[in-house]
Amino acid sequence: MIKPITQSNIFNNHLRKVIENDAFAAKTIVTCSVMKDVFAYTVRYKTTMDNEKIPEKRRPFVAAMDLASGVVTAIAQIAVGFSIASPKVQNKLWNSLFKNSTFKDVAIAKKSFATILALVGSGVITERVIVPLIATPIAEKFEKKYIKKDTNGQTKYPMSKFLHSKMYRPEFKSFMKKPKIKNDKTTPQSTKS
Amino acid sequence: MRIQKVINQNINKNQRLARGLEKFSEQGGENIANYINAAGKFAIAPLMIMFNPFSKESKKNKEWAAIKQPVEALVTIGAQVLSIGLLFKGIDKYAAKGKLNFKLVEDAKKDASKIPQAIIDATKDKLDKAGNPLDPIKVLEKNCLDIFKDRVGTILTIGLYVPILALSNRIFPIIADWLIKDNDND
Repeated sequence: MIKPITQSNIFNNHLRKVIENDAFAAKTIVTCSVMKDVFAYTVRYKTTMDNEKIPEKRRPFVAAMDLASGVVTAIAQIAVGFSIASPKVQNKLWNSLFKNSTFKDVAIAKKSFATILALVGSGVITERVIVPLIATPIAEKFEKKYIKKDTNGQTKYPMSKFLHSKMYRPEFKSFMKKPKIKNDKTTPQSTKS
Repeated sequence: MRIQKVINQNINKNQRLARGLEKFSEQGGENIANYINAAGKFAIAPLMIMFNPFSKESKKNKEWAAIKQPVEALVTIGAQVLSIGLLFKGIDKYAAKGKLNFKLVEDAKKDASKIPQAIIDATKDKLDKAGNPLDPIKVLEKNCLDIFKDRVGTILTIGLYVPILALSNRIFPIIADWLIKDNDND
């Protein structure tokens, strides 16, 4: 299973590009980080709306916050991460910080610097500072506009049909078992009689 | 004299930063990404949710959403460090047995002109720990292995999100319930 990957032209071209191009290496890490976040926020949204341990009145906002954060994070992280990873920005920052410093290996240090800076820019400043600022009011509007109660008094979450489709059930069910509903004692008695 | 002292202090500071950068690079991209992500989620995200000037949400709702962040960060980084550590060890063992051969390295062994220029520059006139000249092929092999580990690590991290988030979703309401007295109607 591994050999076709390690021998493939696509993967080896990727390896060559990461080794030769610091900006590409940093952008790849940012893309991987965004991929993880998009997946994580989708799972978060799904598990939050199913989580009966969160009080019913708090759940819509927590779920809306997960969804809004996911969407804003993906867009903002790519914009900020890619801008910081650009060689122009990198060189300017490198020269201002490490002009008089000595390194055992400048190439490795430069690559780490590009990666860390792109990650801090996209993963900390964008995802943790800018995104909550934008996502919180979006979540509030989203909660009010799209998360509503149906005629039975059950909260209806957007995309819940898609996220609860049979395709996803087996994986989630094993990890997120809903609390068991206590058996109604009248049922067996009524069948006996 | 005083100005020189300040300059020296700044140079030392930057030198420490440079050493830290070199040490950090030994961790690998995937681990760095996970550490940075967890640190931001643990320390900054709850503050931003709680003290967001644009938010009109009730304090209790914000407290619930904020408490979720550090709990999730701790569970996530714990599981990631453990599982990725095990995965990377496994890959290293597999590679040590000679079972992980990259086409780029094989081509470079056959034809030295195929070694990426960045590797040639990084190994030129450099010595390894034993004092021998650095072998570009070995450095290339290590680079390829590190990138491969990072990509597999990303896939593992994505796969781990389902159990990690399920676990933190079970833990955080208990902690939130314990920290917030939720008996009002706001």
